[in-house]
Amino acid sequence: MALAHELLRSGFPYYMTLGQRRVTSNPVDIGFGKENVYVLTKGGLGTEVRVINWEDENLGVLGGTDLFQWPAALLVDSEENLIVSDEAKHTVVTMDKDGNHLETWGVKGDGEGELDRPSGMSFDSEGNIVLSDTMNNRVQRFTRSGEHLQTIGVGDLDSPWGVAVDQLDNVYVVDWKNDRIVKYSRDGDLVMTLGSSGSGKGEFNRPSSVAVDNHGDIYVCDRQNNRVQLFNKEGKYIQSFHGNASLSKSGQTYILANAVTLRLRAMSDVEKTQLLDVPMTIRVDDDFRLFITDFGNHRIQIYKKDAIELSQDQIAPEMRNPILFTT
Amino acid sequence: MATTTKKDPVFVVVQLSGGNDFMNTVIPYTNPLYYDNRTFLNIPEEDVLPLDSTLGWHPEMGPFKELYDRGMVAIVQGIGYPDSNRSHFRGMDIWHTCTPDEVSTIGWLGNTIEQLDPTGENPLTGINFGVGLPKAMTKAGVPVTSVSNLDNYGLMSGITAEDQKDEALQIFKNMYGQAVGTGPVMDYLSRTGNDVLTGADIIKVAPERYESTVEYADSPIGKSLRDVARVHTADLGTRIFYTQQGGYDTHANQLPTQPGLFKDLARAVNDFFADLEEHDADDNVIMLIFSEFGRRIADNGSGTDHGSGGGAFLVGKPVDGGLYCEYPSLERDRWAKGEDLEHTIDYRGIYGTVLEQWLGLEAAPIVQGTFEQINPFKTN
Amino acid sequence: MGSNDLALKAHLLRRAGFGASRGELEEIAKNGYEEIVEDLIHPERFEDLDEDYIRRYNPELSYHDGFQNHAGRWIWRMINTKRPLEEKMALFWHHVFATAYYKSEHVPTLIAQIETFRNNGLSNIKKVLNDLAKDPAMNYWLDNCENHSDQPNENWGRELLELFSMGVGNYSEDDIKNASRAFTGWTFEQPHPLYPFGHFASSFIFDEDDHDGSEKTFLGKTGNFNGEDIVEIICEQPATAKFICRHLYTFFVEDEPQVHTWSIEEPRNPEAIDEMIKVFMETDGDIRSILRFVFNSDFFKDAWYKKVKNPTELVAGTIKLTGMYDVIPKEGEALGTLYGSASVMGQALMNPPTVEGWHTGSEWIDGGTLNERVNFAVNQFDDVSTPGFKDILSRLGDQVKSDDLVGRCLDLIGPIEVGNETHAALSSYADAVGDLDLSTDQARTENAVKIARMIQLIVSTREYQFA
Repeated sequence: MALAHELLRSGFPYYMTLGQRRVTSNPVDIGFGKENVYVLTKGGLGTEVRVINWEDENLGVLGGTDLFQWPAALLVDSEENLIVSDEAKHTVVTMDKDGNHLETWGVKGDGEGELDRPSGMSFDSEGNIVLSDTMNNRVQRFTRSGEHLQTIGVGDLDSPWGVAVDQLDNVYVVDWKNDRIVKYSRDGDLVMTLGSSGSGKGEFNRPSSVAVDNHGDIYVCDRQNNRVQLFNKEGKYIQSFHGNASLSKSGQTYILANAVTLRLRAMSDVEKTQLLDVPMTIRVDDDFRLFITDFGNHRIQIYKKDAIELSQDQIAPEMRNPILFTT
Repeated sequence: MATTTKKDPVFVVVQLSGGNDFMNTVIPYTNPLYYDNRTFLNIPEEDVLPLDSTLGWHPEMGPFKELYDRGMVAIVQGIGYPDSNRSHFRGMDIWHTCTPDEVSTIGWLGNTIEQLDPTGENPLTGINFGVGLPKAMTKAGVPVTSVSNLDNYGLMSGITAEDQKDEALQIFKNMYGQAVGTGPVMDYLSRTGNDVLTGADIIKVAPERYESTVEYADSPIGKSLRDVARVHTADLGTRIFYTQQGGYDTHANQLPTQPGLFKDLARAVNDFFADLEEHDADDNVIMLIFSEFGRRIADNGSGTDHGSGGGAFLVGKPVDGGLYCEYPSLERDRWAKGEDLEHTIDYRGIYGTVLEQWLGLEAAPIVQGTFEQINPFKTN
Repeated sequence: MGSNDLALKAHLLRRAGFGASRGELEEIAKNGYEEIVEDLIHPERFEDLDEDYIRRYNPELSYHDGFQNHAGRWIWRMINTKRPLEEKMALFWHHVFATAYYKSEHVPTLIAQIETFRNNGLSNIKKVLNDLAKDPAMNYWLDNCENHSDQPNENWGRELLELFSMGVGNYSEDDIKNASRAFTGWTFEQPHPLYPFGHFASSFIFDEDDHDGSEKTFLGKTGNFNGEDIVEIICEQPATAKFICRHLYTFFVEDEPQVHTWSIEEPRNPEAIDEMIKVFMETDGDIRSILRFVFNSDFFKDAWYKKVKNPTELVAGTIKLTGMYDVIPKEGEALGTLYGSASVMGQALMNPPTVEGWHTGSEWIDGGTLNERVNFAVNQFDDVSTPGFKDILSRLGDQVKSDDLVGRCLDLIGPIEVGNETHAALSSYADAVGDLDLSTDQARTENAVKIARMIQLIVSTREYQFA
């Protein structure tokens, strides 16, 4: 599928918020089934997969610390099986949507196919798993059952975290300790790097996650800057998301049942409560919705891109310099 | 073993940490106001285990109901204190120290243990099972014992091989031998080290001596109460036992959470009293089950929030089972703080009841005042 | 005891920091004693800690409830920092200005308070007290948010004088009333409550409409005082100098009687306190200068076995010897465990028992806490594969003679010295195991456990309970 030549970017408005503390507590990743939303959580309030629906109803939990101790990423396949990477046990665990354990693979080590803190995960176009092998400073591609296919990024990376694969099977890796994104071709050749250390536009402070949508737009979860940055397919900075959350449905119900909480909310600064607080993982779907696990605030913030795809003949050719005179 | 004719009364405390939702423990299942306020979090009438025409047990409290039906459970309805503090820590503190108006470092059971054993002769007069001593049992100069694992209690517990552990303990004993003239703190360390060795030696007999046909359900509270039974039946002179079950802070997910907690609790308490009965050791034991506060009257769509008045239970063969005090009103104009159950009996009155009518001690100095008591014990 | 240079420097690092592994000690000891003191009192000379990995692997640090994890992070910092006195000063002020979680249950403000102590701990008393007066956690803890112009609340005003600066007997009830009036309107921004999205931070607010701007008389001075003026006057008082110096002395040098007795119990070493007061008055309460004086003094260098380790020192110091809880956390390592270990020994960081803080010295020890202290330390050396133990093992060389085993081990985990009874008991174990061959991998593996047992015995001693 060819990418659109260019976009008329109408906007990227806030769409909705899901979850609340003690339900989607400390979320680190998110995946989608036909009806359910799966939220991977890690931390003192629960290390498990929380199942909710689009009505923000709590449907219970799957998995838990007997299956994974330091879960990092979640993938949901077409049969709605759930795949979780575990940085403490150096494994990748699969369970079905009822939480039945199906399979675990992964052995600690630095040899080919071995793992040392597997973290970010993404499917490629064939359904294989591209997996960030953090402490080995590389990315490896595996079949669903853990058979090693490819090693990428040796020599380039320092403690990589999130990974993403675009429609053309390019691989994007969060080079965490180097504050940048590295893009590799399907064959593992370095194509592009994006970003440097800092807090300005196009700069990152220990980013955690990357996502690419069907326009080729690149999203970077700039974790310690508490924001998500959007770049076009060439890596040009477009905009940042700092957070614009409203109350989730469950949050509204909660507050309405609590007279004191209602009063305190009336006394406090609401703007603060909208912002992202240490976002962990970002995912995009085919409807150009952006999902941000707003870790520190125990919720998912969702945004939806509003853009019109342009063909080459609709838009003037590229210009080398800026101009002031416009009509 | 002991030749005393009358067994000393023993008091077991089970703390439900996090604030148990009394409204869904002993449920006013015929009161429409219950269903009005618990639109999400109600137990349907058909699931409730009725204890009379207005109140019923949570469906998972079956084994507890069994004890109630045998006349062994006094339900203390509406326990609390004025202007309840909704903080877990401070709320628990208030229950532990009997001083709602000021922060104190002296626990009410610390005072009680001191009364029971004024010279501090037996470090096992009061025992806590769990990690870290609850404030209720602390008082400077009053020795109490805290056991996280009864099967492996004492110094050097990390050394698993028995002979090596004994060797290490012997060296420890030599190292902590009375040194002459090395200073008061060194001397104090020596004394304390030797006290710890002695206490561990005494308590060691409990697991060795214990045999029972009762198989406790596998849960942390079951394990703790089994430890209580093992020490109690070993006759080591323990008068106060303390343990706790956590997880009652059900702001969210109360529906799936609370049943699991009740299931464990009800089974454990039932097993415990069956065990004591088997050992003919239940005549002199009562148990208090309490929580630091009740929860809000209205649910929040997923759980309930910190409230005020709640409920407690006194359990045991000497207890005259039944309902005590008044179930707090669900009428809106009688809500505490505009959203909570109002307490109908002060917890210090229940402590006083236990202190005076069970342990034979003067209550006022310990609970810091005079509070209304109930009469929950059988008269012989 | 000052004769052994390395041992003296180890003593300095235990008191001004949390001890050191042998490798760290030897590295630092390349400098002279006075130079080490200068490095300690100038933490800014060293890079701050890399928290990237613990923030990645302990996500609890990224939401603001569960103070235990944040208290654990603090101990992790004590273990790994290159600026040990910075953390030690934060702990010092936490002892003096004890603020507990149990009242507010609001973690962001508690974290911010410790961060303030970390930043201003070595500055001067005026800055420390002004920052404290504007600290939201303290403000709520002592009810100054309820101190209104038309309805003063004296809790903060009273404790500021009694527990935080001058000590009882040095001011009148009227001084308390007037000080309290000066702090009316000092409050904090209402943070959004815990549910549904977790805690949010707060910050200091001066509400002029709620401030009593009228005339006050405080400690003999009269004016339209605001809170800063009160702090200014407090800092000029000799009583403040004495009170703060006694606190520094009991924390860094020698256990004093418990604080609440100070109005009737004179210092154990009045000359030392007098000299410290002199430095305090000359430097307008400059903490760095006072500590420079203390660490270089003879009374400090001679103060061995005069101070019982607080639980935090015991936990951090022991872990430093094992090399666990490193900058990159081991798989599954949880920071809350560090908090829990110190907590069961009687020191729940960020949750002290009352505003009076912890009772220290021999009051740290009772049957239960001694049991916890000994078992904790013993358990850390149960694992012979920790980096710290492997380092100790490698430093023992190819062979250890039975006669040398006690001495070598005492040297490597301190150096510390022990009394005769202790030495004899340890030697009985050394005699029993005999000479130990460490020359081959197999022999090392076999004998590692015996060395580890010797270290377990050493960390069980009475002497190890002292800082």
